[in-house]
This record gives sequence, C-alpha cells and structure tokens, in this order.
Amino acid sequence: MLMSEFAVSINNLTVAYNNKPVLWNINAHIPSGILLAVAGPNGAGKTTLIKSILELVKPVAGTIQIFGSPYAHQRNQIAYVPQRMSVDWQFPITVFDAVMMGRYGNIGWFKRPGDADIIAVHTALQHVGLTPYAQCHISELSGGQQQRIFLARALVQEASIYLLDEPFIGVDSVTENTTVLLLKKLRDQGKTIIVVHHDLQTIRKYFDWVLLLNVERIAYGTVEQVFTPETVTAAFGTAMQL
Amino acid sequence: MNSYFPEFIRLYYTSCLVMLGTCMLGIFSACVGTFVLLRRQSLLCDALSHAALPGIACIFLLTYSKNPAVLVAGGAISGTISILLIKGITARTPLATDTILGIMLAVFFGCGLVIMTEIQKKPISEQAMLNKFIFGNASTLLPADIALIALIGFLVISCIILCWKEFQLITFDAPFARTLGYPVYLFDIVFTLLLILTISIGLQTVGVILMSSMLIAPAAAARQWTQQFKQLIILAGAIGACASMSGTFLSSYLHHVPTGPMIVIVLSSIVFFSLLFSSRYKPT
Repeated sequence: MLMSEFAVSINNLTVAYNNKPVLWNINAHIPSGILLAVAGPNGAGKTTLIKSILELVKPVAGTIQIFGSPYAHQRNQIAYVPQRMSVDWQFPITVFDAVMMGRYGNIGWFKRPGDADIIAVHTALQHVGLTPYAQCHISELSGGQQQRIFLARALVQEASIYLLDEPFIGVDSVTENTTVLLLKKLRDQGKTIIVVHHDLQTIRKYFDWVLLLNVERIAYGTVEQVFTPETVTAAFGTAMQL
Repeated sequence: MNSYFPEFIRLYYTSCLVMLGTCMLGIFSACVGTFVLLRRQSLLCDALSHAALPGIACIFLLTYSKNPAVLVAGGAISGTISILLIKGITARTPLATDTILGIMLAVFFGCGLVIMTEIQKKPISEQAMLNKFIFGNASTLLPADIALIALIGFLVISCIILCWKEFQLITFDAPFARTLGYPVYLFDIVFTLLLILTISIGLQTVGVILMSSMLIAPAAAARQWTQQFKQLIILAGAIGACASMSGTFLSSYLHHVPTGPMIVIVLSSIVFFSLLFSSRYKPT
C-alpha cells in the first residue's frame, strides 16, 4: 500500500517534555475509513499523539504524514475536537459563533462568513441536535452540549480526518450516543476518525481499530485482532475487565 | 467685554479639547482592554504601563524634547524591551509568568523613578512636565497630543476591526486557531504592539501607575452586563468614554487633583456598581 493511501502515517515518532519521553518510537499507518480508538493509562501519551499529528507539539524524532504529505500541506483535511475543558466557557460568544469558527480556515484572513458558511453551521447544529440553542451563550449549555459544540465546529470543517480528544468525558448519554452515531456515519462516508478514549468497556462497541499506548506502542490493529486481555494488561500494567 | 469673550472661548476650547482627548482615550483603551481581559493578561498590562516610565525619562534625557510623539516613542520602546525580557525569561526559566511580571514591573518602574530623580536635579525648565507621566494630567493636553491619540487610536481600532474574527478565534481557542493555520504567535506580537501603543498614548493623561485600570476596568464592568462579544466591546468603550470624561471634569473642578486617579475612581465605582447590580453572578 502506498503512503498516500494511508490517512495518517506515523513513523518512528518520539516526543519528550523536559527531556522525559512521553511517546517512544511510535509507528502506525492508519488507513482511511476507520474508527480508531487511542487507549492507554494516564500519561501514556494519547493526547500528545493527537497534538503531534496537529503539529501542536514538536517531536524529538520521527515524522507524521497526512495522505503522504506533511501536515502543513494537508491542514484542511483535518478537523480537531479538543478536550472540553481546554477553553473558557464564560467567553462571550454564542453557540452559532463558536461553531462558525470551524469555517474560519476556509473563509480566509480578514473576510466575513458568507451564506454557504451560515448554511454549513446550521446543518452541523442540526446534526448534533443543538439547533434550538444556536443563539444561546455557550455557558448556558450542559457539559455534553458543550462537547457537541466542538463536534459541530469540527463537522463544518468538512475534513477527511477527525481527531477527537476524550470526547466522552463527563458527558450525558444523549451526547455519547449522538456522537457515536455521527462518528460511525462519518466513517461510513470514508472519513477517518481517531479518538482518544479512556473507557475500555465501550471500545469493542464503538470502534473498528485500536491503538494501545503506554509511551511505547503496545498494540495496533483491528479491535478483533489486537484488543485482548493480554495487550490491555501490557498497556495498563494490570489486568482490566473488558 | 472684549477681553472676557476671548478668554471664555479659549477656556471652552481647551475644555472641549481635553474632553475629546480623554473620551477618545477611554474608547480606545477599553476596546483593547476587552481583549486583555478575555486573554487574562491584566498583569501584563500593568507591567507594560510601568515599563514605559524609564523609556520616557531616557528619551527626554537624550533629546530634552517636549514633543509628545517623541516621549510616547520612548515609552513604547521600553515597553517593547520589557515584553521581550518577559517572554525571554518565561521561555528560559521555570519561574511562573506572574512572578516574572511582578519583578519586571518593579524593576522598570524603579529604573524610571531613578532616572526621573536625576533629571529633576538638572537645571532644565521642561523637566517639570515629566511628572505628569506618573499620575497623569489631562489639562496639559495640547492639540498635538490629541492628534497623536486620535492617530494611534484609529490605527489600533482599524487593526482590531480588520482582524476581528482572527483576534476573537485566537482569544477563545488558540490551539484550535493553530490547527486552522493561523500564525497565532504573529497575532500575539501584533496584539502586544497594539497594547503597547494604546498604553503609550494614555500615559500623559492617566499616568503609568494607573493606565492598566483604564484598559481593564471598563471591560470588567461591561462584562457584568452582556454575554455578547460585540456588545461587550461597545459597552466597554461607552463606559471608558463616560468615565474618562467625568473623571477629567471632576479633576479640573476639584483643582489640583490629578486626572489619572480621578478617572480610576469613577471607573472603579462603575465596576462596583456593575458587580452589585448586574444579574450575572446572582444566585438564581
């Protein structure tokens, strides 16, 4: 398979903070059209892996390619859903405007959003069930609804690869179900979804592929093949119930 | 009568000029201050305004110029040096940013006071006018000062309007902005330069010690009344304008009261009123 046929190719990636490695020699070639869980214990480097793909952190060694090209050339192909607590939810902005930010990459510098952008935002809000809250302030929404704002913001980017960092932490069951259905729908459309996920119980139910990390790569492949009690024990250092 | 009218007109003209200057300053600093408040950079604001003093004193010592543009340039240069030092020390040491800001604020202000003391020992008639840069004195504003406030203020506001959506995005979620390809670091530099320019034009009116309140207080008061970004900036600008004009009026009415402290007292009253009577933090 050619490198350009993989959505994301991670080659010998090593990342360190203050000379302490958080990711060590990671290799993973992620094909298009899959729903991949990145799992591992706290401090395993899951979020760092996502940030490395987005070039938000600089690796010590190794490369990451998006459809065979560097990230800088493929930026528009990737949509990012950060952890909910990464922003100030008291910021004076409506739900609609927060979702519109996802279009800013397409709109370009100094320009104002056009009709197509407005339609895209309304459509995304409808997909995540937030249409009635479009003109509400972002702080008026529950934790789960706030997470769905980020999801809608990623949807309007109309990307090929979606990176989600712990989207199910502290959210209600409605949000979790809506998100999973939406991600599966995107997967069926050929999009690649990479999710940092902490709940081992739901990996089999939600995901096709899994990357088990604990600084190093412990296991990578389809859930049926590699998500076994042995690999999970190797990643977490203790036997976990699956 | 002949002598009365020209004097009356002159006083009226001077008052209008001073009011115009402080009003513009109130609007411009409140607009920039809204971003400072949302970026949680209030202490940086304070450090930058204190850091302007040695620059003003040094440029005076070098040129003996009373030209506001020259003195403002001096303030802007030392403000820029201070931010470079702050960023450099933050990147290279494990010290927390607020610790570095606190140290820089004191160091630059201390240097400024030392240079000012040395200047006061010199037999130069113009040196007395430097004192207004500590507490501010709007009554000494001349048409050239007003023109400078207007010029720099419009430049700052034009930049904010032009990059409105970019500044809003970066203030709300900088990492996400980086993933979209926005040069967040460049925007940070541009914003800091706009902040330094805004601080510089306010020093003569409000003084280095209290200039940060001029930026932060209107936004803090307005924040209690609205959850909309555009409304917040407009309301902060209106509060800044009203407080500046009222403070200037009270300062001239009460005689020998510096303008800076008077404006800050009015602004603080509006902040406390907003905290007490807005519904934002009341239990529902």
